[in-house]
Amino acid sequence: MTTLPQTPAFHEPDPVVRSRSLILGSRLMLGANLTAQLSFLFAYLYLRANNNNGMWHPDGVGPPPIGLAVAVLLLQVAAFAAVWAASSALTRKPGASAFVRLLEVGMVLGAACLAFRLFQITHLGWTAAQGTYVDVSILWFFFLAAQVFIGILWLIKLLSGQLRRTVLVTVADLRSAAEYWAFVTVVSFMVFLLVQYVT
Amino acid sequence: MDAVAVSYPPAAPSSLSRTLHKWGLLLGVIGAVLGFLLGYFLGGLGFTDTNSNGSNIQILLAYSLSAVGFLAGMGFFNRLIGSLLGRRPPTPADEAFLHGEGAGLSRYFRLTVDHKVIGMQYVVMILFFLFAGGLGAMLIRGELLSSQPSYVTPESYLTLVGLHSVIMIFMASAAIIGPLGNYFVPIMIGSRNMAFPRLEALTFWLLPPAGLILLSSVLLGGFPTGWTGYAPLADQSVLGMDAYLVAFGLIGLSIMLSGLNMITTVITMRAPGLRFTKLPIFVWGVFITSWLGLLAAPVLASVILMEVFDRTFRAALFVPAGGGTPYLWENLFWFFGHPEVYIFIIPAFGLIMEMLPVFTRRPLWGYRVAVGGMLGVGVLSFFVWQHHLFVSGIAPALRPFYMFSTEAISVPTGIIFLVALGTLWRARTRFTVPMLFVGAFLFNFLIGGITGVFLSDVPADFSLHASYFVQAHFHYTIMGGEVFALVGGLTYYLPKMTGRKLNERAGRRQFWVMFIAFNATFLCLLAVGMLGMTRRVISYQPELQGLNIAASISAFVLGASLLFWLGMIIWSLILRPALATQKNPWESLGIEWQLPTPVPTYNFDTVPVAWSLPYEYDTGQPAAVPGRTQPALAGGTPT
Repeated sequence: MTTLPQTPAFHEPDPVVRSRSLILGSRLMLGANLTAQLSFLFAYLYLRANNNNGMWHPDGVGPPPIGLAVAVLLLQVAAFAAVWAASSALTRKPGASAFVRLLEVGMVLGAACLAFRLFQITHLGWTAAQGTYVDVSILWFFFLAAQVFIGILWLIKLLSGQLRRTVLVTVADLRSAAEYWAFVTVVSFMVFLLVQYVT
Repeated sequence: MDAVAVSYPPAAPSSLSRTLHKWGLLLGVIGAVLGFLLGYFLGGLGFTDTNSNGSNIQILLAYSLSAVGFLAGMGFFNRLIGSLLGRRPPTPADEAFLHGEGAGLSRYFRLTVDHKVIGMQYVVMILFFLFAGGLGAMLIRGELLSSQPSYVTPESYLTLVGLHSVIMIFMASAAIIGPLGNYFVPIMIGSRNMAFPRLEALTFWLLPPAGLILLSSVLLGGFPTGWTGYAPLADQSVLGMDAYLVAFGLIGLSIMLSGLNMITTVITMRAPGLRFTKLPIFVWGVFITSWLGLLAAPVLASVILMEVFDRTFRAALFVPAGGGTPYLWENLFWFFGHPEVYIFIIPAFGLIMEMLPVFTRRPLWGYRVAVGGMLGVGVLSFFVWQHHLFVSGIAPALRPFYMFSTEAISVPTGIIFLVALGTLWRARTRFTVPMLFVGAFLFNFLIGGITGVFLSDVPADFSLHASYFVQAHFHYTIMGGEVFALVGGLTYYLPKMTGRKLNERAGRRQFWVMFIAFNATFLCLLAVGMLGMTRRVISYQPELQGLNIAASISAFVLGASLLFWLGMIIWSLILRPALATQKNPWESLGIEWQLPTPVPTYNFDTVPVAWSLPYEYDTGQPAAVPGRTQPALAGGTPT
């Protein structure tokens, strides 16, 4: 049933098992990520409910400018859509390379989203002493920015291997990346609603 | 999963691999130093004076970058950077090299992806921190020989207690999963390795920097909060608190990644025919624990991030004057902290139930019930955290729910005890040293469990909270439970891991001294707790001195017994290496005992396919017999 490998005696894992592991592992990571996000949600709602010393939302502190917030969110959705489309394209035609262009678009949009997010954080005019609404929101924005950054690195990794023909992208690779972007996008949308309208 | 029919051409490892081979740990240390200096420099560029306790951003960055530098030096980022640049993936020769084939002892000092090597690395690290934390315990008990401060100042005493507790928590969170889980789970499920071998290595190598950063807190004034890091005291503490935060963050990351890897491995890497209903009970324990780690540790990471934000940027998430509340810390910390307690103990449940059938020569009684019990404990552990806040002032309406949920957790725990008792019932038990530790586990954990039921009761908790009763309860569960299981488990598995068996007669003596000294110590502490002695306080009422002296002397004997056990290991492994043991000294039917010793690099030539539960002692049928009919490999893997 098997041919034993000769020197060196390295047993390469079955590619099917490796794909399953990749997909499951990345979903588990999303589960862990979800509990981290829920911690922030708990902090937000708990501090809001407590409103100690009236310092949840002191006078003069408002939500971020809606235009910039919407721009960040739209870029996030667009980046996710591009990655998802790339994943679908590869699933439909596993041998074709049409997904590469979509992946490149997704990466550029993701980078733009990150840039806008950082611009938003640095131009809010908020300081940490302006109440806990500001504290928890700004920390959450940083956390989301880090997530987008990781997503971009993931896309760069896939693209580099594919473009240099060193490691070809598999369906499992792209599906995992697309699920990750979907998750981050949904979280970003929820945070947008919360920070803008549940103040 | 089956062996893949691949034959690789001979190829030498790349120069990068050779460098790692020779200099892995040394490069890691250099990377850590450089990272520390870089962080300290960057932190001083313009972020200073944001915190009244000093420029903690420098310390935070220095510690964080030293950990990153250490990992970079060890070679953890080589593949990541390579893949970002589109380089070719490692060759089979590189991969084989990373498994440490033919590398001898040097593979224990570098990045390797062989789960057995990582398991052994964990053994050494766990023992190191067990004894480092134990030294702290000896210092604490030495100080408490007197009812008034003697050789430690009250401030230093708090740091001493904090260091002892965090080191022990740190050690305990990986004590069984680290050495035994990493070593044996892949073998027990018929796999050649973990699902993510590099991630497995990372979960180990995150811990040495975490431990050293934690120990270095002494140089920065220590931390006064104990292991719970309570705010707002944490907000007000000196720079040693930052060491706590970075170290605990690294530990949390390790727990989470380890959980992810274990879950994926058990789900995707099982051999054909090995259904979940046939998994060894130890694998179930590790599997359930891994879920707890995966879901609870990110909450710890989040709340640590919030505390860092508070301390560094003068945010007020935990400071009432600024709008925050310490209850936020308490809730989030204990949402992690209580499942964390079960992260310690569920693998111990699995381990003792794995050993019980071997020494009773009977099938595990109520296997599925035992699995259900561990699942019940795991699920309920997420719904009890607010019992830690009974005295802090939570809404009174919430107390009954958390009281009942905490009491309810004793039901699945009791089920596990019933399984153990059912297996022992009318058995012709072989009272070997590991079996003695199994018995001690049941005895100790019973006391720990029952005292826990008292504490779950709100009125009792009001009078006993923060007393030595709580401390003794906790030590009965973790030391009396997990550490006894660890010592028994290592005694049981060392012959498989090293080919050496500890001396049985010396082991029995060591066991009885340890068992009696442990109970003498903590029964005294239960008593002083009931008499009102408060923990974490250096002075106490003079009339309690007698019990404290008894507890301290017992604790010293306990420490000596553990040192003796360490001496036994060194004697067997290093000083008397000729004392090789037979292949399966306990006559276990588990698949791990059917493999040669030492276990071959890739565990199996052909993956076993016929599986039954490994507890068929009434028929003597092994769980599976690894197919080892193929000729020995040219590469020289031992067969």
